[in-house]
Amino acid sequence: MKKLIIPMLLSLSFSAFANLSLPQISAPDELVRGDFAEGTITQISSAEIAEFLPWAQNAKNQLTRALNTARTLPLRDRRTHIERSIRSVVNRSGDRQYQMFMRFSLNRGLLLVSEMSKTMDMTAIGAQESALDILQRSIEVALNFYESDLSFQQRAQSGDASTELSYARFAINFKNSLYAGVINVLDAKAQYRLLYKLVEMVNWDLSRDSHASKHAEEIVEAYEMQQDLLPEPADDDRLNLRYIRRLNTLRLLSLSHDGSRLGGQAQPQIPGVRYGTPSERVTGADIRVGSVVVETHGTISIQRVKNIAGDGFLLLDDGQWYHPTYIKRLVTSYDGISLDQEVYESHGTATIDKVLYITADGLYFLNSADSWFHYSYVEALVDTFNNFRIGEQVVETHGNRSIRTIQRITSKGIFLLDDGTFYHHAYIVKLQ
Amino acid sequence: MFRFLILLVTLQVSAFAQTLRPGVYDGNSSDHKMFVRTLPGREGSFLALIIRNGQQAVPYLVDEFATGRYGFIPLHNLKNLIGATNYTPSLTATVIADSRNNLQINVAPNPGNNVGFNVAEVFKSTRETSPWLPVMPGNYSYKDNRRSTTLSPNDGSRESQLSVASGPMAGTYVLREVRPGMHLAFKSTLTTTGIEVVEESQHIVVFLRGCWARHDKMVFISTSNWSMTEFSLN
Repeated sequence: MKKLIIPMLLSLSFSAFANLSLPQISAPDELVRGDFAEGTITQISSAEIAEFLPWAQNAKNQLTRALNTARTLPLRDRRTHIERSIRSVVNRSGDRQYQMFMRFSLNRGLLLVSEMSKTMDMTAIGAQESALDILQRSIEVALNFYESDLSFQQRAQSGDASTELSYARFAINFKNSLYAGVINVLDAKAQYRLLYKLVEMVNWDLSRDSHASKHAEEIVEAYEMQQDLLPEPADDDRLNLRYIRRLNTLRLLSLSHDGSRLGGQAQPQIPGVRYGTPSERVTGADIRVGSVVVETHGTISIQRVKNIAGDGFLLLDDGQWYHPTYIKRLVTSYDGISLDQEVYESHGTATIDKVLYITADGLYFLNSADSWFHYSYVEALVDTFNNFRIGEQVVETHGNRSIRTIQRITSKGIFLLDDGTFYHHAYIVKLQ
Repeated sequence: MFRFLILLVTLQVSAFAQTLRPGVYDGNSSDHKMFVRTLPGREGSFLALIIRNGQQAVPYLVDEFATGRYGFIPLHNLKNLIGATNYTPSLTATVIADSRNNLQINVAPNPGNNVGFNVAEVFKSTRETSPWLPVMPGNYSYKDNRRSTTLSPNDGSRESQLSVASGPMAGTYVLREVRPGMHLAFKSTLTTTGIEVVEESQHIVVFLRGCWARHDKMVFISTSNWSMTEFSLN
């Protein structure tokens, strides 16, 4: 996920935080030292970027390749293969803090599988499948937070080398994906232990977010419940299932991507905004009270403007005031791409997705990815490119020179073939 | 006197809130069945399969919420796993026993999850205690015995090969046991790079002893619409 720049000058607090005294949330021991330690935050200059380029590019390719290759391996070999790839990526990151959230997700996936191994028999039916599921989910989250070195370098060259790290947004993403994996670990002891650790990690991240007070209720509730429960599972599975049901009531586990709480099923909901008829879309030239905008300072949430001060600050649904620099107007189209349109995003997991929201300066919010992408990473889909057309049989020269059928084409010449892989047009040759 | 006897019987039945047991249970009609088996690693919980009219089947995770009270959570095929997408039970059940320790399961729909069956029903225990088998290799037939399939023995890694000769399900499948007694069936396709297995299984497969039908059965359950296809062991 592309990080948005917060200029150094604007280090002031824009919102009136409630004067809440939050409990001291300790870091989970496993993330402070040992095999899964996450390290500390540092800033990095644009001059230092170049040495990371080869590694950072390889990290994404390596993880994507690991997932694709695992599909062709026998089940008994898949977990070892994926873990080896993850450890290789994590080890090569070493003490480098660039792409920190990617490493967070990978380390935590390994941690959860390690905890599984300690609390259940990994030869039990379904154990390997559950472990694989957790690792795959952690990789998917890691790739969602991957940012290309090119984009970071461009921002650094424009004078802004600092980045704000939204711990809350990462925590909610990680929770949404891994919670679904944890609750399908049916061994009662293992499920309790994994759920306990997941809550512990997510709560720690929420507590160290710059807008931690926004989640004060969830943080305190989770902290108090965890003080009441033991970290290790009980011998009695019925007791473990009761503890699991207690943890499942935590409001922290129902937080959505915009920080609001979900009701019922964990479906992402944007408060006060319903994507639907054209009349509900923002088309005005100016931001007014009632306008639907996206704030880029916190969790990148979509909200309505409740008030505008004389100095230009805007009050949004969440009750906080934002400098206009961090407020983006939503539009119906940008750079020839419109709402509802299917596009190809080349920044994250390289998928075809539908555009839900567009900002006036060219950020696209995609449906399934549930993330924002800069326009330079979003390509429209076309029927033809360089005399190639959809449905045509071609030869791909990147892999095994196999004959494939073109399924989709992007405006910049990326081809999706019927093997489910995207190819640059330089690797596509016509059949004679 | 008659009223006293009715009251006495009622009190006897309601006093025996019971723990569920593995076995076969008969529903309101002869082709409504509930199969229950244990779930290792989750003591006190079970896996269950409810079959109605020989046409629809829903697998469940059964968790105990209180003595004699259970929640039935529908299970789906999730890529390489069998699990739940919503852990709110879609059915609740109370289990009681009579003086002869015969169980009666009173099942009712639960609000908050309407996946699977949504009707109340009473299931009563039968003598069969172990109808649910891990796997049964052999030759099977279906569709009026004119179509045949062959299931190879388990290869030691909980996988079997299934070959369907004809019909809409024709092809080669890899059956993998991913929950005790529950399999996913991955259709195997051959490409220029070697054998590839389709990642998302369309079915959950179970093997049931022929206590409820003339033959032992291999049952394919589609979790998109809960329809079932039966293969009879020859």
